[in-house]
Amino acid sequence: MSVELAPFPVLAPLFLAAVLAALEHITNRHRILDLLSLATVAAVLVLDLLLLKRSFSGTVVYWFGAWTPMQGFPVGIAFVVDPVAALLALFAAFLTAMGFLYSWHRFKAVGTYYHTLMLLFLASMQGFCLTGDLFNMFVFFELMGVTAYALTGYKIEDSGPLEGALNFAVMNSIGGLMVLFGIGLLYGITGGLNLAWAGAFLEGKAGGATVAAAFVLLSLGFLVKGAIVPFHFWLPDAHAVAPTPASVLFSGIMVQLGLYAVARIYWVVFSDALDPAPLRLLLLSAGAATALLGAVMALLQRHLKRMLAFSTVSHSGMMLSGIALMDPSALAGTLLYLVGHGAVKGALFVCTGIILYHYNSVDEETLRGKCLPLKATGALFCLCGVALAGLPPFGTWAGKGVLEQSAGSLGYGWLPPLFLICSGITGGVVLRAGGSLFYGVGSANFLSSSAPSSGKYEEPEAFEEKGGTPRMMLLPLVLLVVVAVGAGALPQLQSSLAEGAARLADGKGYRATVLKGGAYAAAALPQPDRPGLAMGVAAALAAVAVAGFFFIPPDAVRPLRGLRRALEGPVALLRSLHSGYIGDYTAWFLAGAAVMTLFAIMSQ
Amino acid sequence: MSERFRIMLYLVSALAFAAALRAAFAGLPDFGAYCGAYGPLVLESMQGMRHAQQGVAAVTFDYRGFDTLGEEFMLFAAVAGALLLLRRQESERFREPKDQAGDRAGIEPAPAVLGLGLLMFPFTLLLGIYVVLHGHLTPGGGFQGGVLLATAFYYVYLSGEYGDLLEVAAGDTVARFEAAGAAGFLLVGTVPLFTGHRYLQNVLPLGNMGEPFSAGTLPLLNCAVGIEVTAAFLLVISAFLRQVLLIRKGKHS
Repeated sequence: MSVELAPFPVLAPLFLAAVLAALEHITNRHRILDLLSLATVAAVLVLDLLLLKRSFSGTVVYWFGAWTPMQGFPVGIAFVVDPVAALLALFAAFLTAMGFLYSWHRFKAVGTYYHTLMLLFLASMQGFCLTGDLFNMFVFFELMGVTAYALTGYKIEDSGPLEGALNFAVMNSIGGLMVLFGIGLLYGITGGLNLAWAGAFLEGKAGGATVAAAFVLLSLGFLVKGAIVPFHFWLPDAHAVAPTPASVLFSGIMVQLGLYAVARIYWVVFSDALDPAPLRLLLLSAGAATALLGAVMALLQRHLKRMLAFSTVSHSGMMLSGIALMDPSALAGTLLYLVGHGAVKGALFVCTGIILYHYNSVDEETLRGKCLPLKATGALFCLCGVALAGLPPFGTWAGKGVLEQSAGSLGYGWLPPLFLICSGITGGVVLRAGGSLFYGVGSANFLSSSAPSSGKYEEPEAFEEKGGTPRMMLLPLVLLVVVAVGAGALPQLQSSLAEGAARLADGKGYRATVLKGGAYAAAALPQPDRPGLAMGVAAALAAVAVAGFFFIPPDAVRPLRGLRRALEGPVALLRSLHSGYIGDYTAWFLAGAAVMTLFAIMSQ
Repeated sequence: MSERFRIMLYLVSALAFAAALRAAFAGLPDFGAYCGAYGPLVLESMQGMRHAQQGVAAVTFDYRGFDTLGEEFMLFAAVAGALLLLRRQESERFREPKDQAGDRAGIEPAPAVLGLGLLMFPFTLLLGIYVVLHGHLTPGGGFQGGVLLATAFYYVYLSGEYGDLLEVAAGDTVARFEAAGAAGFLLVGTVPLFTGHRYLQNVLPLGNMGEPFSAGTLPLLNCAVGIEVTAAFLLVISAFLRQVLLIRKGKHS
């Protein structure tokens, strides 16, 4: 009998987290902690790869404590590993490995439980991806939160990290509460916590207000994590101040796991009970609003990490729009986009970390023209800018291409232009920053130079040494770019994700596999078409155009002055909305929650 | 956002959200009308399959033991996070606490407080140990007992001996105990794997129902949680005390 691998991606990092917490008091040798952490992540990577391989031949169902369903009712907790679950877990492990590579040796991490918290974070993401149980999902959601809050506040010397961590903690705890409400409702109706059971119970029954409310409440919690408007306010506050390895994980995968959870619970539990049309409208409008607002806010930043954080908000909105189409092929495109975006955004955060390492600043204005010596980093930073916009052959291009094709065929022809705008802006801002930092182009522009949060001086997070950028900081950067290219260039990933998405979207098949056992019979799928190059190139050109617009000297062109006056009001309004006050954020949360819940209840 | 606008937005949204929740809750079964399959199944199976007499403990540590593992590590993570945030900054330094009154030689607790502390310490300790060890038999268990155990040490602090408490809790021993408690739960779960069973499967001898050594792994898991929780709360209180009493800005002496 072969050993079942399913629980080990969670158990291994949990165990090592405890061991390292004790070790930290015995040895202050950074190297040992680094080595053990990296070895653990490597082990998790291998485990996830094996699980992924196994999941393609059939969904792996693992009942903890051997509590298999009793008289058809699941009394225990199950891990249900299908290709999408395994792939997301694998990607989370990969990004964690990149974080550890970045922090190798030089990171100020002794006596701070850094390694322990990162491993706990990894374990929580693994569990969140692999579980097939709603309450277990909530447990890992909370564990993910607790570790993430602490990591956000890592640099205690500044007040920013503590405020960011507090905003993050309050908003995500409110989100957690919504998830708990949703669990309560769903348990009250179905009597079970297993996703498959709840789905099977609801299948074919008339949905009604209670079921709709359960879906919306669960989604609300996960959308807070997913930074969807109007629940996104915490994200820039937190991502901008977190240490680099944490930012890589937050923007690369944690936010997206919130969206994954919405997709998972929709397809497994609610897809055969609720009318999809109003839910599609609800999620799609939230996604589109998020994509636009995030992009515009990214334009207004001079603090590099805050700019990247708003860019994550925008891309998260695009991914929610993809999920909201509630269609397997759109879902496949979204997942591909998730991988491509995560790798590119991770690379950009590593670049910012390298800039911080050399100059103790992440401010576009202070650093203008100062980063000329960082040739490799500068080139990669700008490359990531066009990659973020979706230049072929990056994963962002392939994912967005697939998504746009299915959006077009589903009758949502307005989505591709919206994506083009948002990609153009978010990619263009990166190019603008890259141009001014590494090549000294442009000058203080009227949109971002007045931003209240500048990041002019930031506490260093690593011990600086003489000489250039440490190789161990460049290594994750290069690896991330390679993965970003690979995600788009390899047609295998696209076809695997098409199969994975089809299986995720097959609620009936999932339920039958979990509750009745038996192998999952995958329907043979036709080889999906490769996305066209035109939209990708157009988006990259749009990004270049956006950056070029900001490189025009501000007083050279007369109409610019008029534009500047016209935009003053809206810019000030947008800035004042993102006030940093937790009271404001809570009020917005409640407003969004009320609108969404009422809409869902009345439409079902 | 102005104060007025925020409050108005909040009130209107809260009312609308409350109305939505009310409509949603109306579709739930009536109070007391339990129609789920879970309760009966657990109550029917736990005595025969696990020799367990307490449903809550059986669900927490056996049927859904994996959730509890996650929750135990949540506390572990919270403590690690608290210690991370409360650590001494590079610009700060440790300083011996000084009595602010100035007219006393040292800190002397009042006799009544000292006496009560001395009296409460052993009994709270004993109660904590009892609650942990009987977690699978009576209400309570590792989480509750662990809090009681930590409370016993809080009495040491309350009776004025906070130096003693800091010495006990700030040392490495408590941190190691905490890690051992957390890892212990995890390792108890891995034992069945060596005999080809599932993670956290209850494969130990089940004993006679109602006895201290019964219900298989339940007492072991409760003990692991008890150790973890005790150590966790000691670490947190010592971190807070250190922050308040010992850590000062480094610039001026």
